Amino acid sequence: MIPSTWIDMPAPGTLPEHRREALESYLAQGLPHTRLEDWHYTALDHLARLPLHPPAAADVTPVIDEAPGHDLIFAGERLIETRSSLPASLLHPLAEGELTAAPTLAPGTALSALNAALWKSGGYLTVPRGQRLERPVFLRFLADEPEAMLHPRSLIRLEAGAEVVVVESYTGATAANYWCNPVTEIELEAGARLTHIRLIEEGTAATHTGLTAVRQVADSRYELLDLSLGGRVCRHELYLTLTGAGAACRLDGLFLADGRRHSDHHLRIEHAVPGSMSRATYRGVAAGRGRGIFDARVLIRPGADGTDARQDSRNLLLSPHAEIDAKPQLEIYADQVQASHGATVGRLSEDAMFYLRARGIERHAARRLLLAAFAGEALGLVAQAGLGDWLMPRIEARLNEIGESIK
Amino acid sequence: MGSNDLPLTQHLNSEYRWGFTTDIEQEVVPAGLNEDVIRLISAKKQEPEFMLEWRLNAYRHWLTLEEPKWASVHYPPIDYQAIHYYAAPKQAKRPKSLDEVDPKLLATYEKLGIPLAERAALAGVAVDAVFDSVSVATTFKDRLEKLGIIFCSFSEAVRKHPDLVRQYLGSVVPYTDNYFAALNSAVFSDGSFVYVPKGVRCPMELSTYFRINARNTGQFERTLIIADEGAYVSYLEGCTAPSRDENQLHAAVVELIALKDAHIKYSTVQNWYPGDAEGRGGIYNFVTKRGECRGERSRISWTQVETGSAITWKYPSCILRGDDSVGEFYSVALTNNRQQADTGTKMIHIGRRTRSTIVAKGISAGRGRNAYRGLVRILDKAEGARNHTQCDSLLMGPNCAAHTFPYIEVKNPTAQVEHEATTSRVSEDQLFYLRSRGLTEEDAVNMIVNGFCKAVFRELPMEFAVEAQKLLSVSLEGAVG
Repeated sequence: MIPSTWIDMPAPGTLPEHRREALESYLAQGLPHTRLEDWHYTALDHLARLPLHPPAAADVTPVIDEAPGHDLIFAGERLIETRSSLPASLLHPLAEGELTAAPTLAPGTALSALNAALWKSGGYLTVPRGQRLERPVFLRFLADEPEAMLHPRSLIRLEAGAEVVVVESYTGATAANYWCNPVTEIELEAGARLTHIRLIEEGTAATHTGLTAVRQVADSRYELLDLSLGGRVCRHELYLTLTGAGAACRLDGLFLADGRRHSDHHLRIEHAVPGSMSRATYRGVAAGRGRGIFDARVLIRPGADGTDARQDSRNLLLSPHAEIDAKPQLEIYADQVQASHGATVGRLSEDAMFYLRARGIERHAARRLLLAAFAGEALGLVAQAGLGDWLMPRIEARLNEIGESIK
Repeated sequence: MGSNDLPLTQHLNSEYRWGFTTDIEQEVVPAGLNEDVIRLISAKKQEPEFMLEWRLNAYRHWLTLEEPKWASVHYPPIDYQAIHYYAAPKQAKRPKSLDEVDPKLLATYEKLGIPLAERAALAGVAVDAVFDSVSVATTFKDRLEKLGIIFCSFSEAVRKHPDLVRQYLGSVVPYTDNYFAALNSAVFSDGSFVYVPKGVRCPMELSTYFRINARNTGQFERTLIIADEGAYVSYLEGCTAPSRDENQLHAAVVELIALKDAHIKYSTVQNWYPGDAEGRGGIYNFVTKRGECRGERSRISWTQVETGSAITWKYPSCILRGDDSVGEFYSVALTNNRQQADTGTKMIHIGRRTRSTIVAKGISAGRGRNAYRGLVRILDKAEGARNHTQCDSLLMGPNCAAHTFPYIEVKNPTAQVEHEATTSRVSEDQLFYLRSRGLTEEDAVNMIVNGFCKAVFRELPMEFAVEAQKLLSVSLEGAVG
């Protein structure tokens, strides 16, 4: 068991009330460990051996590629650049008062509480009633300082009928062993529609333990593309509550766990009222000594009749040292529902390989084709969001790396 | 749907048909658990020293454990010091023939419809009936003995075949395995022992009826089945218990060992007292069942029909160690009223080309809570391993719950694992269709449920399949409404 106080914490007395409560909640729970059912497959013990500290002031501003949209760029938990033509009232760094004024959507897990106690910056986006933003909004978080501990916090609110594409990315270019623990809360009012691309591209020694909490009301639509391409130990938790009839979510995910990557995807979907829909479609690839985890639970509350919930998790295991763990769970308390889940683990189809090779396609190219086709099943939102040019090269480069690594 | 006014609903309240008790003078050890009680149990059973040693080790280990809380079941804390750990019908000596068996005991079995003595011969079933803790009658022993098959009570096996017991006891479920297995290892009173020698195909289904009778006696059965190389045995376990208001703990352990080319088929129809409609009383069925396919091409099949118990909490499992070994799990679990079930299986693939199949059907009615929890683990050496899992839930009524908690862990890239789960309900359309063809609502529901469970029932031996269908329809009476 890891002591909850292995890092230097601020003295509770020096914090505002809500942060003090959050810190106390974290201290009471401690750092998660694998004896907890929810953390069975992901260990954070290595964090306890690091002398973690808040990020220091960066001397140089990194050069950052141009993103096709409005862009808030954070490095080491500080806003370093705003590239946006939106009014500042819609998109700006999150202020303490904005967070305390908003209803708390994130569950009181240990790491979410730690974030609430220690967060320094993050994005705030609100889209007014009926407005549709033409260009995507980017919230980009960079990190490269060894042993830094980052807790970005973001808040996204779409008023009734609003529509937007948001790209939230966590990037590290170096091999620094930092820990990024972001929390993002998303509230969708009636008829609002959010397409959310969440990209983990952390550095090769980084730990990422992100959490997204979403609340949807009637006729709102939430579309997530959950991408995990880089980082050493990565976990994304999604807590999504459907609280209005006609609310629907589409959760697509792709994780690539090669080398020594560990990628854990933890979904908790709650159908609280009648007549909502959820779809989870995840594709996972584990190669090298990588390990991929899909752990989803759909909860259908008493009385939530007419719920339609499906989970589909397919995974490729490409190396004798890799591992896939899948837990597609259903928890159902109503009888007039449709719920199903399917999960498969296997390797690339020998038949498909044979078919392609018989047509003169060389082994490596055939493997790349099959990998791309497999991953493509979860990437429908990329083109829909108009982000193919920006996103696909990153995904393809990683797929090619994996394709090359197979003997 | 959803209202309790439809004609089928009243049907549900049918009383537990096997809720009688037998008034027999019992020899009961005072309630409570300590090393002296364990020494007393061991002494009463005239066990060799190694057994006492094993029991005491298990007890000392149990003291270090905490009761597990992770299952999707809820029950008030169990007072382990309030349980009587040993109860035996008082008899001067072991009966030499059925004539010497207490007629009241025989009458009990008769009410249960167990084929004993002549009835057993007619039915072709050998019965090792367990009345509370001591086996009272065993039939067909001679015929089995001629083939070298040992089928006896566990206490007899400890006395007559200590080497076999010593070699295999705890080798699949060690006393360190879990809380209830440790408790069972410390205090188990009796159970069945089967050994089928090399190349022998057991000519009949072996069967044991367990029965909980004395008030406040937890029943801690221990079953050990060994199929030597090339052997085959089919074992049936059936359970009914009399009606009681207090919850009773049943923490059994079943160990199966299949050596090279051996095949063990283990079938259970579990109909312990489920408690009344308000959830008062009923059995806590917390059982550890595990089989190990130790040799190449060995095979273990678990088939279970779980309709009884207030709480069913068990995962009959297979450790597929031998290359090309096969594990199977077929299950129907039904919860009605306030019954709870958290059941499923574990398939641990260690050997190459090991295969497993899981078919789990859960039926929830009334305020029943039914959870499938299953683990499929493919270890890194299990080249070419295969698993297919199908788990389906049938919901009847707005207040029941059905959960599915599968765990899939794959460490070998040549493995192929598939898991599918669906949830459905007995729909008004289906009922209307059948009723418009002249079926009563009861028959229509039974037909739908039997269709839902067919994949499991056809794995049961004939006698059990019939009983299972009957049990299901009785247990579901009035559940649709």
